[in-house]
Amino acid sequence: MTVENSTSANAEQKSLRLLVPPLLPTSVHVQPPLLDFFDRCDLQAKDRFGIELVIDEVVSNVIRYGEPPPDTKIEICLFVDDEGWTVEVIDEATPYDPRSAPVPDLDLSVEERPIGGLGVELIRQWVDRLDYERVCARNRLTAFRRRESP
Amino acid sequence: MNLMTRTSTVDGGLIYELHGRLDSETSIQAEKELEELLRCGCTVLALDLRQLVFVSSAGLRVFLAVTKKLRMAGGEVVFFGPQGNVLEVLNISGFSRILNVQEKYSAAQ
Repeated sequence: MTVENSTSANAEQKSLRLLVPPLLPTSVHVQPPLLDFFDRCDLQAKDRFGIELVIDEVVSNVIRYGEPPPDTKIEICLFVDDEGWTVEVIDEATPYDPRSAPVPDLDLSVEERPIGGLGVELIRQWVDRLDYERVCARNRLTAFRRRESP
Repeated sequence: MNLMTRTSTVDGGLIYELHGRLDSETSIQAEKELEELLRCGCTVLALDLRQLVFVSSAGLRVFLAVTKKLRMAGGEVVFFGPQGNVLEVLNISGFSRILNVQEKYSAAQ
């Protein structure tokens, strides 16, 4: 696992880059540097929650369903500035654009509701922008949300 | 922070407390423990969410599965005390409308 922290001088942007093996559990690799990064950025609880939500949903999906080659790494990049935060997840799993996931019917009763299928919807609801591209045989998902006021 | 759980009995009702995170990894533990409670014949259950600080879709999956199973068995489950962002996830997923979510504990009927 690789961790890189940086702060660019011009725009006060802080960033974190994690390279994690495509195996569960990943939290042992992700949680400690993530919590440290949150403190450095002085992020509000809602922003912390949103970043953790995107990472948990996307990384677990990639590992469980994307069949990433075991000798590759999942790259998680975080960028935080005064405007907001961005989570980028890059992997070499099978092509998957989460924006194509069907929108679940949230009005169904307990009996009618299928189990599962809510991960992408939670991300959609939590972030302001969700982008995806397939570049050089890699999936690149980018989620952005404006930062909460203190 | 991981997930810590505790099961207790209050006024004859079974309460399952969740402390910490219910994510794609820890939800496996919660699912197993709840299935064990159901196997032991529990049909009336309350999930104490007051100390739950994180939940993702994997946690929602556990909530829905236990509710489906208990209702099929003629029972019911109450989710009480969700806070802040956990409550927001329950709201945006529609779960706060279809599950029995309460502010404070009262035995499931």
